[in-house]
Amino acid sequence: MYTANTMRNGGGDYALAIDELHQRFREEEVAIFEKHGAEFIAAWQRLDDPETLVWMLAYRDRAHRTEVWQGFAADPAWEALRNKYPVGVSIEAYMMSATDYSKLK
Amino acid sequence: MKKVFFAVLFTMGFSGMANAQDAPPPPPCGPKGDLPASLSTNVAADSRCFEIRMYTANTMRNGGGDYALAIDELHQRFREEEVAIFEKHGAEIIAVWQRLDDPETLVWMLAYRDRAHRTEVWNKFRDDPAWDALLKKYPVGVDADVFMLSATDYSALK
Repeated sequence: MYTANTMRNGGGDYALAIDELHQRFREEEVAIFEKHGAEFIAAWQRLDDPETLVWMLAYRDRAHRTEVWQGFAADPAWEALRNKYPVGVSIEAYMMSATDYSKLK
Repeated sequence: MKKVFFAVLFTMGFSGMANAQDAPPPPPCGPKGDLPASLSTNVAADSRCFEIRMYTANTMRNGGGDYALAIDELHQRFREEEVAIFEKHGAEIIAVWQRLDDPETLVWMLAYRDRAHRTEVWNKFRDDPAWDALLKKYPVGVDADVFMLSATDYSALK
């Protein structure tokens, strides 16, 4: 869960922060993660908070997650994308394993 | 000063009564067209209404003691019939997970057509004798964290 920081360049409400964050995902962030092997399950808008984007990734296991994030972090495409859309976020992250009775595993 | 103080109290009491009698409608959820401008910009026109529910099982039971099997009882309730009851009443259960930073927390995700459909599903669920019987069989208490979501236009799942 990424809550976009609406304070930018030292002050003021930056109301378009969440739109910039969604655009970063739409344009290339999802594609970069897929290129490095993650499955991108979904991205949502949280409805109780206009500034919060929620997204979900799936990896084979923990080692695969580490590999994907290292590939992502080292990718020049990510650096260029972040320079283009430098919106800051507060992050809540949850790691989960599917139950034996879950439809999606 | 005293007058101002009493006026504030009266206002709070009055609005509290008004809320109890005439609850505001639940906020919208689902397709872009159902949402206010502040939420709809990045949402898909054909998004369903999604709900993430995180249930932390209460390990204190009958007045005390660690009830370490609470989370297993909760998973068994879902495995045995809770998922099936929700599906019977029209929800899609996308997935059920174990949260890995907290052994007592189950996370599940539902999808409905829209907010009205969610209301319909939950009303039928609550009225279902099968749910009443299941809750008596597995009476584990939970703390719930709930998030309502609409899918973005670029989301794989909508």
